[in-house]
Amino acid sequence: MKKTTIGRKVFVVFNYTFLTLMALTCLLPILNQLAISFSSSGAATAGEVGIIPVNFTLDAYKYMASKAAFFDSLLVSFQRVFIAVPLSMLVSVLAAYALSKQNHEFAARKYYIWYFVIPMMFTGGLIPTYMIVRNTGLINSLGALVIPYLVNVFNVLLLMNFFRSIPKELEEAAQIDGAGHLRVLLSVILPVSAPVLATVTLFFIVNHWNSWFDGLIYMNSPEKYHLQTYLQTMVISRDLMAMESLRDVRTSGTISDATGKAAQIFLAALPILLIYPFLQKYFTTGIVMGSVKG
Amino acid sequence: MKKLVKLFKSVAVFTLAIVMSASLIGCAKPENTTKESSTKDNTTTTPSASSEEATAADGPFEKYPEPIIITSVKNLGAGSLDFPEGDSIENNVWTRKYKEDLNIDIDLLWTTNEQQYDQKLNIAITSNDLPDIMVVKNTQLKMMYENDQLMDMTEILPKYWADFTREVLEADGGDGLKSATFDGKLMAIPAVGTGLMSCKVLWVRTDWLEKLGLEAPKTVEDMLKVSDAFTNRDPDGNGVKDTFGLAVHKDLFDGGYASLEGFFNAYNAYPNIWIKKDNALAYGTIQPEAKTALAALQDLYAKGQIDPEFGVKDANKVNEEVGAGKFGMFFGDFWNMAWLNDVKVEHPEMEWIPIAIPSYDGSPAKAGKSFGTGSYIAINKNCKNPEAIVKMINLQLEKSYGATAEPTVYNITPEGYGPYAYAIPTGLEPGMKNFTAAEKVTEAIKTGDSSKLNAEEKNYYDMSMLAISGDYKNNNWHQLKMFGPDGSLTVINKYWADGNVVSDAFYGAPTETMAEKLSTLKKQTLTDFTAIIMGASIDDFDKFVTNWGNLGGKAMTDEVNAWYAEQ
Repeated sequence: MKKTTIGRKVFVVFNYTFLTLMALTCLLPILNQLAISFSSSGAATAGEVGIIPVNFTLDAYKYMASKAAFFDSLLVSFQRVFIAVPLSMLVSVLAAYALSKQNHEFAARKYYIWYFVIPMMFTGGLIPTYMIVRNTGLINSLGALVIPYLVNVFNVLLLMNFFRSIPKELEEAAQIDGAGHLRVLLSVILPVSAPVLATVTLFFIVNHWNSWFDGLIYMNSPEKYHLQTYLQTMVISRDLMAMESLRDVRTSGTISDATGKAAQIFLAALPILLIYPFLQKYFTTGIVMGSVKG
Repeated sequence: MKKLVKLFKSVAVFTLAIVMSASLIGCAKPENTTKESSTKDNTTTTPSASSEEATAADGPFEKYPEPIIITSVKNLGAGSLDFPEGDSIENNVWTRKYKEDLNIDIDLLWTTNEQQYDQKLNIAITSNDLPDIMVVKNTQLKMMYENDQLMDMTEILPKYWADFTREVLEADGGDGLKSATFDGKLMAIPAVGTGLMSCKVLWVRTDWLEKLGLEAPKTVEDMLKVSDAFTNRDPDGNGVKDTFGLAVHKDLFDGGYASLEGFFNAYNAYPNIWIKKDNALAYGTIQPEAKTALAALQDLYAKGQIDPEFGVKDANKVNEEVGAGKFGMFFGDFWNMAWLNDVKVEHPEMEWIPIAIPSYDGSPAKAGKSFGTGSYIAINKNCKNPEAIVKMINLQLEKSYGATAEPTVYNITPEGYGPYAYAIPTGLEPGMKNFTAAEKVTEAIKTGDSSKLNAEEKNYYDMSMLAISGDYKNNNWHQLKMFGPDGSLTVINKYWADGNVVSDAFYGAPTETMAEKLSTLKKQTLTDFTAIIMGASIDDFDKFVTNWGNLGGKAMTDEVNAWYAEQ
């Protein structure tokens, strides 16, 4: 039995209060958007909506369902994630495996490490990156959203460090049984690396799902924007100085469309919200514990 | 085994060397390929023989014997652009018209929405990946001039413009054209506007006025009384003191909704524009009149007639609270009711009117007016047929607004499509068009005779009539508040007709110091003004003026006056 002193009780109470407040600050904005998306437009514009919908209506979702642009960009987003994430994982795991070897096994390792780390700290900048993408002919194709992001050095280092923490004896045992590098990677390293693989996969998914600026600069028409770029057009607060022409006013009806925006924000966040619970079970440590005896 | 390791070592080092050198080469290479591809593009787009022929037989509307291609980029506006069945951005009434009348094919390199157009265009300018023709802002124009990316239009424009185009482009007395002139050369075609659209009006909640038995304010004194009553006499009748007199957003100026330019104008101060003073140009924000206005604001704040939390609320947030019935008065642009239209549908008892800026000293207040031309049509230096762009502009203006105009086909269709937005370039219109429309719509509402209206005006008229009959939705009410009797456009038109306008006297491209320091100066202004309103000593204003000069304001004023001396 654990001893429960007064100090301990006070700590538990404070701890739970604090953590509950933290959780609420994360949860409330999402609930607020959800409530706005189910409220009437007038109530939303007047800011009357808290976390419970006012004048419940499905209008925003009906409107969304009629909007082809949203589903087009949703499709582009899924394509991007489904193509980019497996490719990125493949490239990253292979790089990380090589880099995880000891110096005496892989002589040029430290030079390669530098080669990877330098671009992690210094990027080429926006315009040179754009020009490379343009001159390699990737512009306006899905390739522009996939290929430049294949290697994420941070993720490679994460994988590498995990691979290095795996007891050497596992690999040696496999080698004694005649396994080559590929066999070691596939049959020994990867099966015990589920936590880091899940983490890095999630990082890649979230990165690809949430990035918007690349879609804007590499794609030549709004139909090819993926979801976040499309959402940015919808949600960004407009440069009001530009509203000096009546023509802008003609389209300004869309501005007060707070409910539509909320519905789109919520739908865009939904896939990521759904992925977390599925990957959660892999976030367990200690898998390799006990695999090496004495 | 050792041998193998050694071999592996050397292979590894070798590959590393290759990878590194490849990345270095990669850095150098793109420049060359760009040049090659761009020159190649130009030669393929325009056979030189046809362009020579074209220059031989010439008029403002002359058709090219051989088809030519003009490349462009397009801003699709804030939402998505709608097209009639079967049409698209590549194939619509305007692209067909360009082909049929001028034999010009349009090739759009990219399209994007309003919110992202600037960013994408900046990247195109910086990486020199430009179409033949594009719509740019004055800062971008200056950047392109410095990069030597612009076509000199000094001779081409006057040679090819139609009379009506000339009339539109010179409607502001030639200031717009002057603003596109660098070192004596015309480097772009200005999308000439009037700037009158930037004049502010005072929006007042009339159902509150009636409830409290007040009149719409005519003088500053009246305005302060109304503000006091809206704060202290419970205009919403809920028994709680939860309302304020004047709505203000956190940036004080700019934005056109609940901003303070109009308030300062009432005190004869003209923030953020250059005014003529003693034969020279002076910056309105630092004049002594601004101090008087600030003192008045400080007083309002101290009396609780300005939201104590205004410093953290942006225009959108303020609008929410206006919609929730917290404010009964604010200065803003003619279009402000667009943001309250949905609220009006839900709360029809809410009613607003636009009124002229109240007068301080007995004579009517003058409204500050910014320079009207905000965007320019820039033509790429490498464009083979720059005159084609002038012809396209001729055609666009003529068919939309000229003597042979067909506005229902090319401007706004009866079905509600807006072909004006399909035209290349977009954004040209006769400056006073909206004021003429407001006059005609008001007249038609009074007489009930809508036969004199063109299609666009008829649309405004129909919407206004629906609003009058109580159908406020779909922005009907907002149209009535702009075009209807005593609408905001009528109020602004009256400033102009009575000569009660103070125009921004500087309309050149941003000067060096301006480009560098203006945003810092504006930030400084915001910080100091906010502090004064919230209770700092009013004499801090004098410190602010000194500070402003030292932070680059003096250098900027000198540059602006050097420019003024040249005019």
